[in-house]
Amino acid sequence: MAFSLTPELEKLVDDLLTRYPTKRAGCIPLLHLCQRQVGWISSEVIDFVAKRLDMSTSEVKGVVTFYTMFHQRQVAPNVIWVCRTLACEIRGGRLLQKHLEKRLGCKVGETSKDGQFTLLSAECLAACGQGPAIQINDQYYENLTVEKLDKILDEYAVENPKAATVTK
Amino acid sequence: MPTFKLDGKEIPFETGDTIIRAASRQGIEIPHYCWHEGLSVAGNCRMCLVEVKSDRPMMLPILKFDENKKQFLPDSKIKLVPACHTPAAEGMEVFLDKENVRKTQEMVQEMLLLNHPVDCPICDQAGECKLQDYWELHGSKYKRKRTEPVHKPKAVRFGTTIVYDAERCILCTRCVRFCEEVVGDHVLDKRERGNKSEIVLSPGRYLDNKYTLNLAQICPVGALTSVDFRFKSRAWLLRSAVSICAGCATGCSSYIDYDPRTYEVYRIRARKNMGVNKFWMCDDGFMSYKLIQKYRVKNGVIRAAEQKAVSPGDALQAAAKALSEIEGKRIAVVLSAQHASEDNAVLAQFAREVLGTEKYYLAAYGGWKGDKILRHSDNNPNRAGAIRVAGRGLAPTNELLKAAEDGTISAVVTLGPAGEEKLDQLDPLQKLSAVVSLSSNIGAFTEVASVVIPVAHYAEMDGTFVNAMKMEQRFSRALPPPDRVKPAWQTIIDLARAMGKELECGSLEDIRKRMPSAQAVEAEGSNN
Amino acid sequence: MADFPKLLTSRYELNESWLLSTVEKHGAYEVARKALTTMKPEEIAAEVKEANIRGRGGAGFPAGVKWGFIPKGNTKPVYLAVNGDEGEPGTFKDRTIMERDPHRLIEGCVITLFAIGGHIAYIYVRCELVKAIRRLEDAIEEARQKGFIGDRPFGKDHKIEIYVQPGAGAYICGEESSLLNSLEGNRGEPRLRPPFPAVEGAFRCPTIVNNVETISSISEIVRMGGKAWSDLSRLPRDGGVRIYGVSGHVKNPGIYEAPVGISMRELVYDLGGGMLYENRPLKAVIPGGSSTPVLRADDVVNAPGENDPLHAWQGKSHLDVPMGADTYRALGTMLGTCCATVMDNSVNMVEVARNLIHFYAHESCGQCTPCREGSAWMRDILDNLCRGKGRKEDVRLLVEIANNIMGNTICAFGDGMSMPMLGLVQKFYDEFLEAAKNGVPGSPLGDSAKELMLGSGA
Repeated sequence: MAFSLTPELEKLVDDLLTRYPTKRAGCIPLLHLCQRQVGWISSEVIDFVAKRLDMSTSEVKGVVTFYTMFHQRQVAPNVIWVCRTLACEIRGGRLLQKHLEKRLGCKVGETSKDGQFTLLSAECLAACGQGPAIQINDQYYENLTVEKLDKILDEYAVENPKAATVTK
Repeated sequence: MPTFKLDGKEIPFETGDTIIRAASRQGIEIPHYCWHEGLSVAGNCRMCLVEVKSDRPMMLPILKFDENKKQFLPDSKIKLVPACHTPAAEGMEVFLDKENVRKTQEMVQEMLLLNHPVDCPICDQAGECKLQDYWELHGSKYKRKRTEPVHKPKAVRFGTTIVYDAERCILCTRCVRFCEEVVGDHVLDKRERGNKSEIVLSPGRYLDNKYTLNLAQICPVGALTSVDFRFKSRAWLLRSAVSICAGCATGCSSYIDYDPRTYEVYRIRARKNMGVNKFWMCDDGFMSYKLIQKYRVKNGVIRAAEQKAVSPGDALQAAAKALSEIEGKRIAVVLSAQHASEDNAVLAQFAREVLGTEKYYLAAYGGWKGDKILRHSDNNPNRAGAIRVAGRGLAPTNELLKAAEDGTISAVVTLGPAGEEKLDQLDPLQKLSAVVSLSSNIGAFTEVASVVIPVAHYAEMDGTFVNAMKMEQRFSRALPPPDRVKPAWQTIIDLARAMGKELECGSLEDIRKRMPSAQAVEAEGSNN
Repeated sequence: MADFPKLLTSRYELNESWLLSTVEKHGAYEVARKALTTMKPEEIAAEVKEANIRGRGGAGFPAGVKWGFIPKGNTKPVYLAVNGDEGEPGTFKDRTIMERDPHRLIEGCVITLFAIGGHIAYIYVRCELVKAIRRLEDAIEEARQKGFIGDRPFGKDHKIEIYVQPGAGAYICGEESSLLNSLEGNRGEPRLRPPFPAVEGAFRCPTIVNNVETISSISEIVRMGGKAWSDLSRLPRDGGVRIYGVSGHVKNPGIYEAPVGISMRELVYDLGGGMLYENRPLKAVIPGGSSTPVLRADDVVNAPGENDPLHAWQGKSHLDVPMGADTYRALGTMLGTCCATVMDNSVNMVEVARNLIHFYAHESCGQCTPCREGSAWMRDILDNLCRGKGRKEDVRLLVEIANNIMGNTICAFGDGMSMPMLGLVQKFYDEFLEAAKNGVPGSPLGDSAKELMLGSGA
């Protein structure tokens, strides 16, 4: 099925394209908008963006695959990025990741059994002074310990009963 | 002309030249993968790094092992520059033959092979692969990487003509740039990043433009290969003969690659000619090699009550006999826009001196869809040449059919396989007493002819085509013709002789001397 | 603890410091108003040049000089691209400006655009920094409402527009030419130079690419004058104050504003509060982002020659050398972003190399051969070394690869991954040999990591 943006988002695109002297400069912001709507970059989204910006689909595909924040596969409603780079890791980032894998019952790169979380490994989140850090969706969580992380997930489980099965 | 020095040798250059281009013009190859004369500079392979002498060289910190102290100590090296991106400058001193340059080339070479499958025994590129060439020159080392290579898609069909092997790909992006810059069709791009990168085809599309086979030719490794040529031969078994493409009025320069043991032709490749096709050809041109050996007329044919295959000589005798029985003025001749000027010139002379006829026609294909790149809308290689040597106006073949219908002619001698008309449109010719067809390939004319005399294909003779730009392009014999078959111009001399007339043509050189020069027929030729 | 006056971070602690209504009471846009209404663009540029401000993004190129590279007589549009793609491991300073004082950056953009004759600034921010992007966008809107940007900022006939451009997760886009490619909607692959961005940058027009902190410093430079700003520094030819960061095994990780030229000792022990665990002394510090070669706590300056730039610190610890672009180059490392990653003696340096090379292999754009293949090759070698599958010759091979990537790539990424690898091997060669023999057993990145995560009972 062909993809299209909701009218509200489509309005944003019109405004967006006034910012640049070329259409294709809107490529990355537009892909973000599409991902905001459907959660990932499907081949329909690629077609849509290519048409909207007069690009070839290979160019859009090249762009999508270049950047790690564009999901090439469907992901869970919540995405957890765990920083694995040095400053976080020397403050325990790897143990945090192991704990998350255990608690969610999935490895990095996979989705939890209840389908609520996709766990991904992130390179430096620019939170080194507050490491170890993770990002859940748009939110940073910093200065974490296993204990603090558990609390965050517990609170999350209360708010989202669907996710309670594995996050407890 | 300004010059710079490459390993002490003076290299002249033109303004705007890069080091690699100026050197290449002098026939010196600075090792490279991604650079291509006809494409923009990508600078990504890093094989062409050279040292340029400077008073204040940029020094880079590296380490060197001190065998006495048993530890690494700081050291430095001179920063190299890419020859493909560095403009040549007067008095510049460039070094290729230096230890640090060689070491860099060796390392780049080693890195390109880290994840390469090294499947040369089954790779079509083997024998003409830059990875192999440079491995011998700069590498000759075995793999030092001890982990599993990165695996990527293999034998991916990009379309009907090209197969992609991502594991062999070195990501030089020549293919991406070719499609974008030459064809204007951004159907290829790169996907992923780091050493997971590979070339990607536009989702929802195929590589289906008219120039895809150039990719097999410009790919410096075995990543993009031709579906047609795949697994057919080995590059080192083939010899290349210089030729011209006969696919259309552009007249692209080409190589015909054949096996010298059997003279079987395997492929055609584009040959550099900056005045005509630069470095490229169209897919129809690439595939036209098939006509050299397929659908050929190799024997004579006499169609009386029943069809009979005979020797070329017997067919010639039969034709001579049939034509001798008819008044020359009532015999039409059909020149060919697909045949060399020399063939057409002798046929015109035959018409004048042997037949004394006034009825001249020109057989030409009806054209195809041209473009602004190379493909000319006239898909005949020598319309201009045929008109030029006829020295007079040539009527189209539909008028020949009318004349046959009207009974104003009794016989016809045709050159070439066919004109614009399909076989069923040629029925009026059945009314004639004799239809003599001289042709290398099977076509509508050979099918309706009462006598077919085989002649050489253009690849089997020395000749001339005049292209749409009115450039006279000579080509020479690439392959031997089939047994007892001669070029058309010689066959026509033989035919005249069999009819009791000696055509005073002389040698090929003499024929050429009598052909009108380009300027003389410019005006007349342009009406087509 | 040293108490340095705050200029760039002066408004960080204000309640709702990201709102215009808050910061306007504390001087926001005063300088922009003055600059646009009373100064000539050349005067501003002259102050910035006199300020000797070195680019804060890591390379340390003098910003005033960079502005001067726009071709004379240029008729094309001029763009400002602000580099907020902060992603160099260890670096987390620009984010604080964008989140806590976005108006300082926007004011800097307004002044800079006026000075370079530009009308549009794109602030390229990595998309992970959602909070920073939102605060910047809101701040831009506030400034527009007030007439500080738009068709006639402060009544001046010099149209100014500022847009936030999100990245999408690629470290390489912090490299200025990649940033421009990304801004134009392409894959973020670096471009061949020349042409340099100041001549042909975004949309093939002259473009000045400056770091967030650099642009955020512009208002203070113009307020106090270039000379006064330059004099804030303890070093010559490297002016002003800057935002330092310290992370890893210190008591008070975070960001601190201080003059250019404080020593690493001051950063770690005064500002950072000293080592986290008393029983685990400082082993090594990566001074300014992962690409800057490591410093060893126990190395001393050996510069007996009087002309040696480090002679003044002869015999002193590397930690006591002032942090400046030139002094640190003389030390064999680089100043980078001045965000130090501090490691105590529980950390194995081969593991550090492995952690970093995974980062570089993941982030290599893959355009040119040495970086694409070399990063992953070094990663595989270091994986083997750490897993106990290494060989002695692997260490030399590692150095050979890094030596050959150095300088041979299209952009500085290649150098940026080779330098730390060479630095680590040079300074901790014995640890690499040991790893080649026995691997790196036990808790990979140190007991401190374990304790921080699981408590001291673990």
